[in-house]
Amino acid sequence: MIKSIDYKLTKQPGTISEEIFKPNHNLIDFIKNREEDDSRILVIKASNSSGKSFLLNSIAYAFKALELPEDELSPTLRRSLNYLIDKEHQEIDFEININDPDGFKINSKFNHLDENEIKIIKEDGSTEVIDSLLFSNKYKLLYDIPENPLDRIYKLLKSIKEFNTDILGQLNPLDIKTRDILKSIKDERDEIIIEKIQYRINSNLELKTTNEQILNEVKEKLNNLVNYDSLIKLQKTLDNQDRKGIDFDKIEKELRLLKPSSRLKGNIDDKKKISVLKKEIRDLHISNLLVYCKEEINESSFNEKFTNSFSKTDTNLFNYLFDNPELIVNDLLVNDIENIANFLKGLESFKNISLEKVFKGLKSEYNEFDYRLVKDLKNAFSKYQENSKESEIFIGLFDKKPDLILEKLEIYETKLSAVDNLNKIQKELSNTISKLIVNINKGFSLSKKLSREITKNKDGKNSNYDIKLERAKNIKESINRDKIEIDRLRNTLEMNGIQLSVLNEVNSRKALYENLYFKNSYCKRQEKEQIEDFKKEIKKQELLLDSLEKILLDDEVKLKVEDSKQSSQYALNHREIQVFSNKLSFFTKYLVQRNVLISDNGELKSDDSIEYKSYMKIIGEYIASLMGNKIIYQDSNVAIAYIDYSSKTPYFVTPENKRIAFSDFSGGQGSSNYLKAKLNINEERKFIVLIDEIANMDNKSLDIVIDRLKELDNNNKLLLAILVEPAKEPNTFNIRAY
Amino acid sequence: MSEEEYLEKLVNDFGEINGYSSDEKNEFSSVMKKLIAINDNDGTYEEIINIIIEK
Repeated sequence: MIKSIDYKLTKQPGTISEEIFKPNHNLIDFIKNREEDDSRILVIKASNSSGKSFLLNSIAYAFKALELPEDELSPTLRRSLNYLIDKEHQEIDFEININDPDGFKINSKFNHLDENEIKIIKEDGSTEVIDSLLFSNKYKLLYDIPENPLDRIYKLLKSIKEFNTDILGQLNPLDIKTRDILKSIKDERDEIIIEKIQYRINSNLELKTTNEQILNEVKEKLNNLVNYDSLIKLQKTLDNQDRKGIDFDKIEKELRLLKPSSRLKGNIDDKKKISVLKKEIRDLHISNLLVYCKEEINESSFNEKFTNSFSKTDTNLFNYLFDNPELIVNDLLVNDIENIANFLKGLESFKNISLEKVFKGLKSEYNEFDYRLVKDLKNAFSKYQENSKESEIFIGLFDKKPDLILEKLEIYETKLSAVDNLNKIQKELSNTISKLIVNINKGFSLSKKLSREITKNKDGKNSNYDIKLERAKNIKESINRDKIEIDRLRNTLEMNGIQLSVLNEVNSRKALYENLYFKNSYCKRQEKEQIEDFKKEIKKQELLLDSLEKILLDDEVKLKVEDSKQSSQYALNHREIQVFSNKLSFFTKYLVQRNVLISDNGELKSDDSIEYKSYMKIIGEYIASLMGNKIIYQDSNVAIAYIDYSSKTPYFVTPENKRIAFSDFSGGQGSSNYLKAKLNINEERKFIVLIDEIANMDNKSLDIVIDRLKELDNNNKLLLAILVEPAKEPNTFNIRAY
Repeated sequence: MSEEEYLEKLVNDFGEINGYSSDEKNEFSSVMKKLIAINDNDGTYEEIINIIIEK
């Protein structure tokens, strides 16, 4: 209640127009007479120019109205306050004392000497000057003149924006703190992490064992294939060696029957030349190329078809050319012109007649033209599918979808792909035989030079003896090379786990061969490809094992580090804290997103997405509650559940779902509803309420505002409320207390 | 509607969107309110942890 109020207003001071005003005596009398009355709600009805607005302006200025934020003081009232303190226009000395509901007094004064302060006078008489901040923390000044009340109801959303910002201001540091806590706990011993690392180590150890087994199996299979190949080569070399031994013995016998030619001792340079020429002939790898051709035919998947297609002449020619690959080399070394010429003739014939005939026959079974057509069609359909789907032209041309046609073409392609394999073999054989012919011709030329070198120091009468002697020498050299090859193969086999004793006996070699043949039967005729595949697989498995080994080493170190950490009781609750921290972060984000929907000046941004619909209802309920869930509409109290902000014109929605549009309200009802909402019962500070121009409110609307003020008063939340309305009658200044 | 009730409604809406059970929503709301209350008085880490794990 107002304990005292006094002022002196000097208008146009120091001029001839100077006028002095004092408080209306009705007001002074009212305060004096009601000293014991603790009413804090006053309605002043006064005629124009009676000083009622001056009174409100002065109280508002005394309680720091000019320091209110822009949106809490209307421009009209702010202008009035600035006019009030304009010293060129007027001087004011003002003082007011009010009893606070908590027992102390509050005194506020300002004067023309620029003194302006608010004091608290305690019950024991001591005083304390309080600054604007402290004052605004204790009291909420509501100085209002109802203008466009419906627009302002809409803008009550600003209070939600402020509250959201308030909550976020509390959530953000909490969010940071919980994350800090989690960070600290992460540095502690965590049994779950230890368990995870241990589990990973065990899994990787198991994986390592499995991969080692796979690697060993592949290595064993590779060994079997390599051993099989080496054993075949060993057997062939041994057979060659035996045959050469027989040939050598035969030539030696023949030499004994011939008269040796008279010979001059060759010089060292000649011997060197001979040796170089022999090496050059051997370096042409003629016997290797012959072996390759033979294997290509014998080991191909078409071998049976080759055999069946060869005539007897073809078979004889094949055996002559490829059975003893060393023979032609020996002929070259002794310059046996006839044998060389026959061999070359045989090769040409085999290539151009025998093979050509066989391949033509084989390929006729597959129809190469069909194969080409299938391939071309498949390419065309694939390209078509990439570029134009569901084309009407395609549907008009074919009765099947492109997918089905492609599927069918792929089946044909696989079936006819034998043509490709045949072409490949034919090309390889043809190229190898061509290369053989070229090399034999080169060898023939070297052979002539070699022959000249050998015979140049001899009398030439006994050339048959010399040829045989040279042949014997060559065979001996070849036998020596075979020995070296045999040793190499035996070493390889021994390193691959075969006992040398097994290799010594024909029967044990045969048994080993049969054993390996059986073991390798899964890849018959594909041995070479299989060896390459196994080598790749071994490389892959070794890389995998290497990386597993590194991961295991790393994990063992990590395990040691984690295991050495100390544990606190909170580490056990790490998960719970983590879960809560996540929820808190998500909730903070949720609130930030929703808060953005309301602009800083309280406008609602339109967003009709479903995820925000529920929030719109919450804010509608909140604003309705600010208005006490009741509004004045058509002279009646109407209960409201919430405000529907989802449409352009907001609606009040009743508990029965009846909708009342904002635009259907009269100005007076709107003012009343707005003021009620502004007088928020949940506000923690005490209100100082100053309302000018309440004339547009009918009695019912005013009663609603008075009721809310009384509610605040009963809750010790009201310091003072003055509502002012104009009186039509002149010289009137009436005060009603509630 | 008090500010506390408003916060309650926000948590409820947030929980609905994220598929929380009713118990889960109540638990989160209660822990958050307690934490906000102690944070006003600058709660220690220990107080915060205890509120989260005690529920």
